[in-house]
Amino acid sequence: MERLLRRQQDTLVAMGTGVIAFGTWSVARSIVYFVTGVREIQTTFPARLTDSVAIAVLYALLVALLTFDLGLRFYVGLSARAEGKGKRGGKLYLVITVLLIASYLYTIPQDILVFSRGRETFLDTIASLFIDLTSLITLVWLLIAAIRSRRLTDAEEVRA
Amino acid sequence: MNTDFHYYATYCAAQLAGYSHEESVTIGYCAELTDNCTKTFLRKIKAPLQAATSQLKMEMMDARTDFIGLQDITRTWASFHFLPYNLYAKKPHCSRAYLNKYRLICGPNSPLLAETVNLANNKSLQAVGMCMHVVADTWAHRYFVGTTSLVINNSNDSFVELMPNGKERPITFVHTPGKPDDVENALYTATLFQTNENSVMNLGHGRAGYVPDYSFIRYRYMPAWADYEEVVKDNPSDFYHAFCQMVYVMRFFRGEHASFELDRYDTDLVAPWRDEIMAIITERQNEDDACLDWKALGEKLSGEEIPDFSLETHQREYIDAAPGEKNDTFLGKYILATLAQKSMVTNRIYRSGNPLAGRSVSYEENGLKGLRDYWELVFHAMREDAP
Repeated sequence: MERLLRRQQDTLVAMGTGVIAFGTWSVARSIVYFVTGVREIQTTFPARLTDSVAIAVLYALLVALLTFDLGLRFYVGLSARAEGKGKRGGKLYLVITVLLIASYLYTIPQDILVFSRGRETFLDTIASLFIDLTSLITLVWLLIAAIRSRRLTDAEEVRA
Repeated sequence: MNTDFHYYATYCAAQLAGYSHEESVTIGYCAELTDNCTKTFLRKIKAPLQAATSQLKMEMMDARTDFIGLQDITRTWASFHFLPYNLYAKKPHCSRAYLNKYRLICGPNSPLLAETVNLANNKSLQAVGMCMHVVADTWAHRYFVGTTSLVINNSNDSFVELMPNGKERPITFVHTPGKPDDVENALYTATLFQTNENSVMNLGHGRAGYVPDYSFIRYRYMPAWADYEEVVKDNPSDFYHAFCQMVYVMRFFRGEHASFELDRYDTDLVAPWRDEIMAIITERQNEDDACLDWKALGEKLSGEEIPDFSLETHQREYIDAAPGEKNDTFLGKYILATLAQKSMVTNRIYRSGNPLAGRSVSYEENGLKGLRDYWELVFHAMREDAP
C-alpha cells in the first residue's frame, strides 16, 4: 500500500507541475494572439472599436481574465504538488480542477467545430487542440491521483 | 568500494585465507588496481586498451555515448564493478530496451560470480586480486547497473540515512566535485540530474555519489527500477559479508575448499577478528582514516609493513620488457586476467540476447575476428599448451 501511495503522490507532483506549465502556455498563447491579432479583434466586434479608451478597457479585462485563469492553474498545480509531497490539501483545489475539466470539455468540441467550418487554419487548430487535450488529460489524471492518494492515506490511518 | 576495502581489507582477507605477506600485497594491489587501470594508464605503458577496467572522470566526459561508445562503457563497468545478477530476469510490461538494462542490475552471489571465480581459479595472483575486486563490488554496488541509464540508476529525494540510534536523517546530494563528502552533516556529492537516458551522469551509482561505498552507512532509498518500492541497504552487513566471502573464495583458490559455492562465507575463520573488523566497518569516518585502520589490522595480522598503493610501482617492468615477455611481468599477468574477465562477461551478456555489451565472437567457430586485443588470450593459451 505504501508503494501505491508513493506512486500516486509522485503522479500528483508531476501532474501539478504539468498544470502549471500548460497554464503558463495557455496564457502566453492568448497574449500572442491578442497582440498579433489586434485588427481581427476590432473587426470581430459588432461595432468597430476605434475608441482607444474602449480598446484599453477591453485589454485590461482580458489581462485580468488571463491573470485569474493563470492564478487558478497555479493554485491547482501548487496544491497538487504540496499534497504529493505529503502535505494534506483542502478540497477547494479539487473543485477548481473539476471546473477546469468542465471548461475544457466545452471548449475542445467548440474548437473542432470552428475548424470544421473552415474558420481557422489547420496548423493553428491542431497545435491548440493537442495542447488543450494534453491539459485535459493532465487535469483528469491529477484528479484521479488525488482521490486515490486520499483514499490510501485514509486507509493507512485506519490501519494505524 | 574505496581503497580502504579494495587494497587494505583485501590484504587482510588474503592473510586470513593463508597467503603470505608478499602474496597478500600482490592480491590487494591488483584488487585496487582494478579501480585505476584506465585507458590513460594503459596508453602510458603501451598496453592493450581493451584491458581497461575503469575510466577516469575526464575519460567519461569525453566518452562517446552512441551505441558503440555505450557498449565500450558497459563492457568495462559491468565486467568489474557491477557484475549483473540475473541476465535472464523477467519483468512484465516493459520494452526490450528497458529489459536489457534491467537485466544488468548488479547483485551478489550471481551465476556470473561463480564463472568469475572459476575463471580466476588456478591462475595468477593478479587474477585473484582482480577477482576479489569483482566479489567486493557485487556487495557495495548492488541495485545499480554498469551502464548509463536514468531509468535504472536514478534515485530521488527520498534518500534517508538510518542512524545507529534508530532515527532517520535525510541525505542531501550536492554537485561539488573535488570537495570531500561531509559525512557528519550527511552532505554527499553526486552527479547532476540529466534527463538524457544515456548521459554518463547516469552511469553506475553516480546519482547516489559515493554513498554505496561507505562501509558505515545504512540507508533507505527508492531506486528508479524498483517501481516505487523502497530498498534498505545495510552496508556494514554487506561489507562484512563481502569480507568473509573473499576469505572463502581465496581459500577455495588455495585448495582448502573442494569447490566454490555461492552464498558461502568463512565466518568461522574470521570470527576471532570480527569485533575489530566491525569496529572499522562501522566507524563513521572518511576513506583516508578507514585506510589507516585497515592497514593497522593488516600489519597486525602479518607482522609486516604494508606498502602504500602506487600506480607507478610495476610500470617500468612492463614498459622495459620485450614484446614476447610482457605477459610474464606483474602488469602483464594482470592484463591477461582482465582481458579474460571482460571477454567472459561480454560473452555471457551477448549470449543472453542483450546487445548492451556488444558482440562476442567465438574464435573456435569464426576464427580470429573482433577486437585484436583479445587475440592475446588465444596466443597466450597456445603458448601455454605448447610442448
